[in-house]
Order: sequence, then structure tokens, then C-alpha cells
Amino acid sequence: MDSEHSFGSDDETDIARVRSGDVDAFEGLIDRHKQHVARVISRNVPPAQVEELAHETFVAAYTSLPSYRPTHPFEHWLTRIALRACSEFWRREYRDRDRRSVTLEEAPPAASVADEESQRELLAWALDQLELENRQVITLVYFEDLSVKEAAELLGWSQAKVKVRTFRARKLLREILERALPELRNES
Amino acid sequence: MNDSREPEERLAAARRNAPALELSDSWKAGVMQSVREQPVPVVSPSYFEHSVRRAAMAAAVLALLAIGFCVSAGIGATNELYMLVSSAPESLLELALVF
Repeated sequence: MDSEHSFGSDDETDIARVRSGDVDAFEGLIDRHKQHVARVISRNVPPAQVEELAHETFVAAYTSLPSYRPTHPFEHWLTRIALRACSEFWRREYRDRDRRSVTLEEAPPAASVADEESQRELLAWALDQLELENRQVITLVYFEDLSVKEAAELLGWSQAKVKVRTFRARKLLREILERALPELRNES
Repeated sequence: MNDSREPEERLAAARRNAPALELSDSWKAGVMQSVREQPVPVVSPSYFEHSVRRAAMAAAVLALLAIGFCVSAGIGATNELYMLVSSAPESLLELALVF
């Protein structure tokens, strides 16, 4: 997980000020952590959604500030809120979709994986082929490096379900990628 | 290229390097506007404080019940307590408040 910004007295001071009614002190928290939040969200949703979800994340952080405990770094706590916002975004996205079973009727976005941009597009396309629960769990556990316990708390699942789903989702994702681009398999 | 990693592992590395959008000052102004529309976040008592309060309440209730039982059964209670309660029943309430 990224940890470019240090946490500590500045965050705690601003949090204490906000809790005592000084709303402007929240700007300090935004300034220190907005790029971290943008990075987390950018990894998980289309670029057009980043600003809105970052906005949602900070407003949710503000209203949830009384529940924050300094036993954990503020940035980690904020990351959970950002990931929850991403998860909610995909839940909304999938709600009205008539999810098809995994087929490759739609072509993958790039014919090769020569550069990182193409790789990211291919991965986004492959994730889009997954059902919502598979997508959520593999994103949190495998891509965001959350522990099984943390993912279970975030998703409201049992830890056993997270483990089983992660294994299944990763296997499915690999199959999708290999079928889309056989050269990926040949290279390994 | 001879990469021994699984396909999703290779693509995950590219995903981690995804460039992040720069959030502008106007974006921050929008967030602060939304924040100002929210009620000021008030710190609620912690779970520990809740637990201590609950335990104190339960202890007070149990003490009250025990005193009531002792008084009604005429056993175990000290003479002073019995006299106090019989002469001024309202003092039982005061005693409970002290607990």
C-alpha cells in the first residue's frame, strides 16, 4: 500500500481541531492525503469517476471522523473509505447490468501487452468480465494487498468466503487473460 | 521475454503504476463546500467508555436488588442499614444514587 505521506502529529492536530468544531482544519487533511486517495481510486475505477469518488471519500471521512482511532495511521483508515467508495461504485454499475457469463464475444482492447497502458486496459477489460463479487474480492485481496480479515470486514463477508472467492476469482481471471491473449500463456 | 509470473501478476504490476489524476484546488473547494454542509462530527464515547458505563449501571442495579432482598428477608443487613431504611425509605433511593 502506498505510504508516501507520513502520518502523525499534523494529522492528529487537524483531526482534533475538526472534532472541536474547526471545519477549516479539514483542508490540511485533504492537502496531505488527496493524492494518495486519487492514486487508490485511479487503480480501481475508470478515470472519469476519480474526482467524484475522491470527493465522496473525503466527505465520508469527515462525517465518520468521530469513529477514527489513532491506533492506526489516518491514511490507512482513509484508504479503507476510498476502497469502500470504489466497491460501492461497482455495485451501482453492476446493479443494472445484465451480467453475461464469461465469454469472449467482445474483443479485448489491445492486441498486445507491449506497454503498461495496454496492459492496464487489458486488465480492466478482463476484470469487467468477472461477476461483481469476484471483481471486488480479487481487487481488495490481490491488487490492494488487504488481508483476508480486512477484506472480509470491508465486504461484510466471512473470512472463509473471502479465501474461497479470492482463489476462484484469480483462477477465472487468469483463464480470461490467457484466452484473450494466448501469448501471455506462452510467455510463462 | 521469458517471464515466469502468471498473466494476472504481470498485469497487476502495470496496474500499480497507473498514473493518478491530479486533484485541483477547485475540486478541493467543492469538497470543503460539501463538508461545511455536514453537521460537525462529534466524538461519541468509545466502546470502552460505553462498557464501563454499562457495567457501573449493572452493578448499581444489582446492589439495589441485593439490599432490597436483605431488607425484606431480614437477614444479612446490618442493623444500621435496616434502621436507616425503615425510618426513611427514601434514603434507599439516595443509597442507590450513591452506587
